[in-house]
Amino acid sequence: MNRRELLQGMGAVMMISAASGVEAQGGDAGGPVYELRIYHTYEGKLEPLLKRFREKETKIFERLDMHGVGYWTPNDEPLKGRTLVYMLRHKSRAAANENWARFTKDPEWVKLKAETEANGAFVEKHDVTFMTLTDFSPKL
Amino acid sequence: MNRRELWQGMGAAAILPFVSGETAARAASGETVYELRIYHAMEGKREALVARFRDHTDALFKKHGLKPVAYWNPTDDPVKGNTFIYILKHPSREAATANWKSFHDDPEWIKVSTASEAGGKLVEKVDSTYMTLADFSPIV
Repeated sequence: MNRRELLQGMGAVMMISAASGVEAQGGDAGGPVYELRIYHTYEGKLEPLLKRFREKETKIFERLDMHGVGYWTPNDEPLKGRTLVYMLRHKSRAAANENWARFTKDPEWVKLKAETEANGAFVEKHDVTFMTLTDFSPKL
Repeated sequence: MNRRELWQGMGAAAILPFVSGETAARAASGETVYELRIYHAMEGKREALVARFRDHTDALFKKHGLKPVAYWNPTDDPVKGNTFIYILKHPSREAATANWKSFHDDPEWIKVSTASEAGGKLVEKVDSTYMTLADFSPIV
């Protein structure tokens, strides 16, 4: 290999590593993702929803490697009394999809959901946003 | 008024301000509230908005006692290109109001805000949701 070929080779290596670096920042390639979930409940269903989270659902999350960062209830109208806000952390964006697929089929969850929603569904609508921490964010 | 009546009167006078003082103190100190803020940026302005947070807003928040829990970038379309999300932790709702006011009145913020929006507004809309941690939540 002459000097020119060597330099061309080095250039290619540098470009590849730069390109994969950019890809890694995109979120798909790995690194934790945070999932913000906002549940809008049917009339009178926030309390039973909270009870299900408190007693069972959060434990199923943890068993399936879906880490609960925080669970909140809004203080003001119009969300007060009918909304649950929570955040999960997954090992990666791909892991998030796998985790939810496992959760949805999990026998304990399937049974729990059927039992608790025998008299009607709890959640009318949910908003889901996957996110990564910004470079200047405090660590969580 | 005899001596006994006098003492009773003093007792009531002593107790009343104590009780009302305590209630007022509790209401004023309140409890920790979290504020979820979702910024919808003007077309093409998301990066400028995030840069303003990185370079200025975050430091000004800290100066005014506004404590960021974390800042996030959404990873998925359609919100990826126009949304920025963060959570603040306030010692109470009253502190949130007072700290936001001192932030907005800060000449440095007014200068930063004006300079960064010389070419047009950065933010179309902010959704602010005040929330309390659920009793089963991890502490954030």
